[in-house]
Amino acid sequence: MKKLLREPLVHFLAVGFLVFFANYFWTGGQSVDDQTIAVSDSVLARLDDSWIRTTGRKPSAEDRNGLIAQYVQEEALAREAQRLGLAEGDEIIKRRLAQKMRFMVDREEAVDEPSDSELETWFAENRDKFNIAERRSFNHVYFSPEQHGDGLEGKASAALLELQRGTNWQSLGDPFMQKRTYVTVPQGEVTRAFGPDFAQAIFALPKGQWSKPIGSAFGLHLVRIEAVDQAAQADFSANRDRIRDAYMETMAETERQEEIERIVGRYDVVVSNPESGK
Amino acid sequence: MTRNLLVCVALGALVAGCTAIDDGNTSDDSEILAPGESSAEGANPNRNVYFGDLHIHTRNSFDAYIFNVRTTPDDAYKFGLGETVKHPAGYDLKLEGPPLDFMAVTDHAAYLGHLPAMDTEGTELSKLDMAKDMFSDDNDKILAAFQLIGGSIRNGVKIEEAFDPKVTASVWKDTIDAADKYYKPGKFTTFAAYEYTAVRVTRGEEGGFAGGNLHRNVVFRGSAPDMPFSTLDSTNPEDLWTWMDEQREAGNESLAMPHNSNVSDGEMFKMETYDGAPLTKEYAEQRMRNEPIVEMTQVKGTSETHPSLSPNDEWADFGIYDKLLSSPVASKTDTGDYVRQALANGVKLMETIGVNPFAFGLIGSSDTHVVGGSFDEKNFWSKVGILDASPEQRGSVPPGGAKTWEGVKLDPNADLWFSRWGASGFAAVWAEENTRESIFDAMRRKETYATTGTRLKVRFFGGFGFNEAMLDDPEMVSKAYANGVPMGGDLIGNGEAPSFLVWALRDPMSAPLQRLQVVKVWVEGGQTKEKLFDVACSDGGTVDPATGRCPDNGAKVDLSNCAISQDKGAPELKTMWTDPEYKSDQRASYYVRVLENPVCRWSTWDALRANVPPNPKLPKTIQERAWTSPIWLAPSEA
Repeated sequence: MKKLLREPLVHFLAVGFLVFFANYFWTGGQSVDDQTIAVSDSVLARLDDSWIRTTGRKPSAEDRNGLIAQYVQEEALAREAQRLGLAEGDEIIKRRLAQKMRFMVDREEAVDEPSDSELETWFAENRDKFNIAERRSFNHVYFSPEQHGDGLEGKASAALLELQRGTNWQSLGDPFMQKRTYVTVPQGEVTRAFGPDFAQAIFALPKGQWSKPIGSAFGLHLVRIEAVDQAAQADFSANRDRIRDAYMETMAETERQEEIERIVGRYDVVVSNPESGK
Repeated sequence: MTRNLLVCVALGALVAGCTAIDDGNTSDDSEILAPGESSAEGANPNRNVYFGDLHIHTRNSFDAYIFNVRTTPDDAYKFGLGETVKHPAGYDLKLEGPPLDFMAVTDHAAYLGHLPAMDTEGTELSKLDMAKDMFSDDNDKILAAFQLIGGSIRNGVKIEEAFDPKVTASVWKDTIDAADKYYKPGKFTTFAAYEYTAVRVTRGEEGGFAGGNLHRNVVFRGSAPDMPFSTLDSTNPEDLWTWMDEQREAGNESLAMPHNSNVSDGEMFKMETYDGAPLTKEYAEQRMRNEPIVEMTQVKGTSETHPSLSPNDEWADFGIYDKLLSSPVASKTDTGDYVRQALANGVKLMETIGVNPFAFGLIGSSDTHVVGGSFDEKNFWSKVGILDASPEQRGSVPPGGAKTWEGVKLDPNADLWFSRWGASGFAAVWAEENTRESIFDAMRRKETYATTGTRLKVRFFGGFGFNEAMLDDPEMVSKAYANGVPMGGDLIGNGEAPSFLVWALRDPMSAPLQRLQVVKVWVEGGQTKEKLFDVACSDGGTVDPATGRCPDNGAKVDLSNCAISQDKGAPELKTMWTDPEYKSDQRASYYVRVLENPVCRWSTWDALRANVPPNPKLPKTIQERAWTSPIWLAPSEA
């Protein structure tokens, strides 16, 4: 054991821990009584500052409300935890206490298994979450700008005439590394595969006829929509497992939030308003 | 006994129940169906490319927990599926681009889950003095406690009272269960996996903590044993291979992927065994049976090559990070650290011992310690939690709100380590379908490539009897499979020069392609050689036969806003290439490197947001890239 203790120090950890502790003490230092959470000007400035550093923009009023709520929640939970004696000393780090407290209020195991009728009632109220987006199936013929340069548009237009004369689409165009046939894909997936402009364009196309050349991140495409599956509502029995999982997660989260709100509710919150008059 | 069982139960509940608080910020995308749900398809004989991350740490890793990470394997999979998770510093992490196709959580096996257990009231481990110190408010005590664990992992000497195999077994089972829970064959693949974290003391007493990184990630194809093999069992990776061989016999198939050879202090690909004996056929066979692929790029640098090893490669300075773990000492670069050199040495060993121990394929991954990989230059959060959470900590923005770099003395952590790290990388795999079997088997046959966080697609085939007309043939891929070998494969010479088909397609969310290159390594007169060839150029350029290079395509980055040239670069590049220096009696290996147009490096994006100049010591731009697994060419049989 002595030998282990003599292992040379881990430099990065040494410095890391200074950062670690500076961070915690940095968030301390407010001087108010136990039942008041004061969100002072300096706290607000700091919340703004860290927001800007993370997102690259100033917080909107809504963002700021969110930041304040988050700050208040953390402060309240931390104090509550301290009141319950979770800390062994006075200097236990606030954030970790709030984290521990959140863990304590985690009710995932406490949620009862719903009956079918409970689940159906909940599903009826939350149907929107299970809606299925519009999906389209299409074939496309690709034309590569690297292969055709300035002749790209002409090549694609000529191929369109071929298609209208009944030439087999699979015999036309350039090899394409991704698929040439996509089946029941939502717009998001097309955006990811081809870029947003192409996805928007093909979700506006009529079914059953070859399009004019459409641009993507890769070049030009002639597209024929083969099928449109309209946006639809999910069927309960076919999706029961998924609905049950979402129910359990939502209920656990609701119980956790209620518990947190109950704790926060034990505190008076006084937020100083930097823009006076409101 | 009963007590210990209770510990396991408590810990199990903790791990399962401690998901991040949902801030209501998750996507309200109407496509609520699991990502890719609609597009699950049957097997494609021409294979699809899948992108994944096979190197992810969660709260169950001893170091991540100290970095204040509390997120779980479940959170890691949620992140990969596109959901939002929390960084330990409080901000949201979300994957840029599509969900990942496959993932593995790879927590450090040694003391797996032990820090969370020490931090949980009522467990046996929490009653240790070490645990009280570890989670005390006394900086010195915390450090001393943490070093006991770190030191024990390094020297392989178990701290008996701090090691509870029941905790390891329980958390390992939770890790496997989480992988099983998120596995959706055909749509999203997960693997049971862990990290074997060996570090070799290479600098003696005076070297301090400096040592050679010999880390490996061990990924199981399907079933996994009850306990992982860690450095507490042996710090010699050859013992890990023997254990993997035994597990394979018992039906638990796995492979191990070395990573960060760039900081192995010459140990990862050295030309002798761990104990200094000459390499043998048996060694090479065992190594290849267990380590067919290498993680070449990740947040802690890229291990392709080094400017001092490849002076004729103008792009060899990419992702260079050479400080030994937790140390200011630079790793040995002359031998054993870099992949290109190892590939060449492998070709040479084939001639001397008859088997190539370094005939490996390539992947990238993240090595994130905050459950979500940081792949995007525009939005980088690095990897070690609260230690490198902010631009100031990472050295991309001057400290203390300063607006200039004049006279700034950076914190050594930021200067030597964090600022040198990169937003990298992905493992790409060509497989018939998105299942454990199909993806694992592709890794075993090395039909894989590494990227720096872009999802560009690249095909690479070698064969005899390919012709130019194939490039425009709709059946190109099936013909290439029928008449040649894909990346990772072996060609036996027949006296004529083989043709190589190289085809890359841009990532619509990343920059267009700039050029395709082939790197050749071979042996000549007993000496290893390497050469870089440009093989396809964007913007109508052609390769200059004298220099072997494409002309500059003129792509620029506007450093005032990080905008890139809109009219430069190619959406795809495709060529049939024949080695102009082919010799029928020569043994060689070829791999492809794809370069995108330059973009701002993450540190430049950080500086831009903070309205300060970029750190003058760092590159301002980078070129995202991909490297395929090689194709090996044996000389013609006389």
